[in-house]
Order: sequence, then C-alpha cells, then structure tokens
Amino acid sequence: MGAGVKMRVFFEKLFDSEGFPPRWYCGQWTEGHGWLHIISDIAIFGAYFTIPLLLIFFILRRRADLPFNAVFWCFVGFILFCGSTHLVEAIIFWEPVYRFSGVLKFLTAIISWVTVFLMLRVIPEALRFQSPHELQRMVEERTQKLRESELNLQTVNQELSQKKEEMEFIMHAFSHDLKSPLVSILGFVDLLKQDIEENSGKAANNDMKRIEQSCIGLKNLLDGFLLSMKQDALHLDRQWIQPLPIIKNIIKDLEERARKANVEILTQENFSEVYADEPCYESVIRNLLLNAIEYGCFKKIEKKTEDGSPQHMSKVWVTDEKVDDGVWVYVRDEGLGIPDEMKEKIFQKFVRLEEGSAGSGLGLHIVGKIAQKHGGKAVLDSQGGQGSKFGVFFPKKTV
Amino acid sequence: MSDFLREIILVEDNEMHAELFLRNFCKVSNQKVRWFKDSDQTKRYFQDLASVQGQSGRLQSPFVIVDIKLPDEDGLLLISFLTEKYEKSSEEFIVLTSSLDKDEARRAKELGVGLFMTKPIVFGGYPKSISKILNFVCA
Repeated sequence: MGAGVKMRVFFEKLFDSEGFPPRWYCGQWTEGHGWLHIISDIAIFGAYFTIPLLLIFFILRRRADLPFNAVFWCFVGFILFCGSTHLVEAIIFWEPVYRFSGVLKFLTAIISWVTVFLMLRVIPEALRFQSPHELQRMVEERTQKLRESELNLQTVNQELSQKKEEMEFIMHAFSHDLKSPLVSILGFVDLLKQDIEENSGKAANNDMKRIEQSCIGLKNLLDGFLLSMKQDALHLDRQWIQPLPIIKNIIKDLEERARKANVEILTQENFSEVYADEPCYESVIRNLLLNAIEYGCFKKIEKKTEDGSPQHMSKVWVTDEKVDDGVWVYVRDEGLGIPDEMKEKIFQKFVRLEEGSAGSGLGLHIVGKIAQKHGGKAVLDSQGGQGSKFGVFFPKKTV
Repeated sequence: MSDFLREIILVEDNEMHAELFLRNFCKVSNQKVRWFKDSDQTKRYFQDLASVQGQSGRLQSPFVIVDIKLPDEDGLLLISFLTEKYEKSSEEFIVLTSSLDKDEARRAKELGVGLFMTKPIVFGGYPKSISKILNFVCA
C-alpha cells in the first residue's frame, strides 16, 4: 500500500476508534485516578478556551493599536489547540479517537513552532519597549522639560516684549531728538533770511550761532547713536592697562572745552592697573568727563562777578579704588546733582538732564553698556546740591 | 499787530524753541508772553496768580502754550493739574510738541485741549504756527 493510500485511509478513519480500547480499559485505572485526569483535562480546556476569548475581546478589540498582531493571533491559535488536545485526552477515556488526537497534536505542534519563531523575531523588538515605570519616568522627564521650555519661552517673550518697548522708546526718543534740532535749524534759517533782509547783522549772527549749535547737537546725536550701535556688536580685547596716561590724554583733549565751561579736571597721582579693553576704557572716561563738563557745573557758574567772569571754577575729580575683585573708577563733580526721578534711568538711551542740550543723550548709556560688557557695572551716587559721583567697576582677570 | 487782553504763558524747556517762538511772536503782536522753563515754575506762578486774584477779585485767566516733554513733568500732567486745581478750562491750553506721537495726541484730545500742534519742521513754519495760535487766542 502506497503512502498516499495510507494517508487517505488514515483520514477516512479519523474519528474511527476501532482497534483501540477506551482509556478506561487500558491499564489499571482506579476511578479516582481516571477522573483526576478527565477533570483536569476538561478544566485546562476550559481555561485554554477562555484565555483566547479574553485576549480577543480585551486586547485585539479594545487595543487595536498594539503592535505584534500576528503574534497575538498565533498565540490565540496555539492556546486553543493546546486546550483542544486536553479535551480530546478526556474524551479518549470513552472514545479512543487516537487518529484525531494525533492530527490535533500535530497541528498544535505546528502552530506552537510558528509562534516560537514569531516570538523569536518579536521579543528583541518588544524588549525595546519601555516598562510602565520607565515610561512614567520618561513622561515626568519630558513634562519637566516642557515646563522648562515653557519658562524659557516666557522669558524670551518677556525679553522680546521688553526689547519691543525699548525699541518703541528709542524710536520715539530718536524721532523727537532728531526733530528738535531740525525745528531750531529751520526756524532760525527763516529768521536769518528776515534779519538779512532787514540788515540786522547782530540778529543774523545770533541766528547763525543757533543754527550751528543745533547742527552740532544733531551731529552729536548721530555720532552717539552710531557709537551706541557699535557697542552692541563690540568685540572686547581685554588686557592690563595703565589708566593714568589714558586719562591725562583725555583731559588734554577736553582742556579747551572744560575751560570754556569753567571746569577744572583733577586726578590722583597713581591709578591701579585695570583689566579692560583700552578703547572702551577711554570711552568710559571721556563720556563721564563730557557729562561732568556739560552738566556737573551748569548751575555753579550762574553767579558771576561784577566784571562778568564766573565766580569760581567748578571742579571735577577722576579717582579710582582697588577692591578684591577689580577696580572702580570714579568721576565726581560739584554740580547740583541728579534729581531722584532721573537716577534710575540715567544710563538709558536718550536721557538728558536738560532738553535741548548739545549732548546726544547716549554718553552715559554707552558707559553703562561698556561696564556691562566687561562684567562690571556703572553706578551713580548723587545727593541734591552736593554733586554727582559716577562709578564704573571693571572686574579683575578671572582664570 | 494783534493785541488782546489775556495773558499768554509759554512753558518750554528748549531755549532755542522758546526763542524761536518769542521772536516770531513779537513780530506779529505786542502782547507780552511770559516764559517758563518747567512745570514747577509754572505751578508757582499760578499759585501766585491765584493769591492775587483772591485779593483783587476776578482776573483774566491766561492762555497756556505747553510743550509735552518738560524736564520735571509731562506737559499733559501739568495741564491736568492746572485745570483741576484752578478750575481752568482745558480749552485754554495749547499743546506744542516736537514728536508726532499718536498716544500723546490722543491724551491731549481726551484732556480737551484747545489746540494740539506739532512744532514746524518746514521753512516758514513758525510764522504760520504763530498765526494759527493767534487766531485761536483771539477767537
């Protein structure tokens, strides 16, 4: 008989129990022993039948998003087949369908190995999934990062908002400060024309002087604004510098201007070395001295002697103070001081003590900015009627 | 030359702008203009004026031309102060400013000032501004 015929006969007699005794009659079963097998096999079948139903209902239907769908289905099949073999084992106690049992076990073996291979493929991938604890930790970490990002965003928004306000202020001030000298120039040009027509030489001279003053104011404003813009992109070349020669040069430069304003500039004999960018340091001293010449004395010379000369020279001092972490440089004048309401904004752009002064309103802003760039600060100490003392701190070189 | 009875006060801290105003003004009017550089001086003058008025009966209330950017106080705040303290009509104030700030213009409008003008930045601008002010004052 060929293999094909044998196979056909086998399947024809799949449920035929002829030739096999029921299990009860095979061996010496006691009733308790036999029922122990039967009940256990039926209970296993019941459980193995329920597990796939639960899997199908809860996982495959409710969590369709879960990966490894094929493994789940194989697992469902594998458990069902396993359960069925147990059921058949119980049936065989009465109905010895060993052929069917064999086929069932064979199918169970196939699906079991398919599941094994699938699991071998899937397990390394599944291991990469985080445990709930790790997921919780990751969620917390990301929540924390989100909070930090939100805070950063708020800070950036705040900074942007401040920048916007600052820009609006600058634009407003700049437009006002540009227009103000233009109003004067055009107004005095009109008067100049009329004065020339009327042959009024003295008045014409006065008009031209006013026009010149306004042009100087306008030039100072533009120079200051350009310098202030440069400070924003300034690259510092810091080194140890000797301040005294720099200060003496500046005083020499400003000598004539100071003399006209009846200001005498005094310095101490020795200055401590400063770790700073030299042009920046020079700019700080120059701006502080210009400020002192422009404003530090303006009320002092109002009182004049009988011949019209000022009653006395106003003094401005340049000094320094070495401290543990750097050097302070001070410029002190004996003017009327800065009003309290101006103190807070004195280092801001376009802040002037006197409207229409020749200053750009940017000198002290540049001083503050340079101090900031050096990691230092600019401060003002001013008491009503007792002059002003500006201090700029340059920190020492840090390793 | 126009003459009128009411006093005119100029509150302007920019000396050149004040000079421009006064010189252009005196070309068209004999009227004396009293010039103050800041809010504080103006307030003190009004205080003195109020005490004089208290002694001698009702005096004419002056027209006040105010620059907004004053060294000690915002010009519009000065107007608020004077209108409240001395029951002065806000229409008796003229605002003359260098900036073209919409917010300032809105605040001036809310205060109900008589005239809001920007300082001229064209040739021949000042005489025109002065005649506009005179027309307003004499109306």
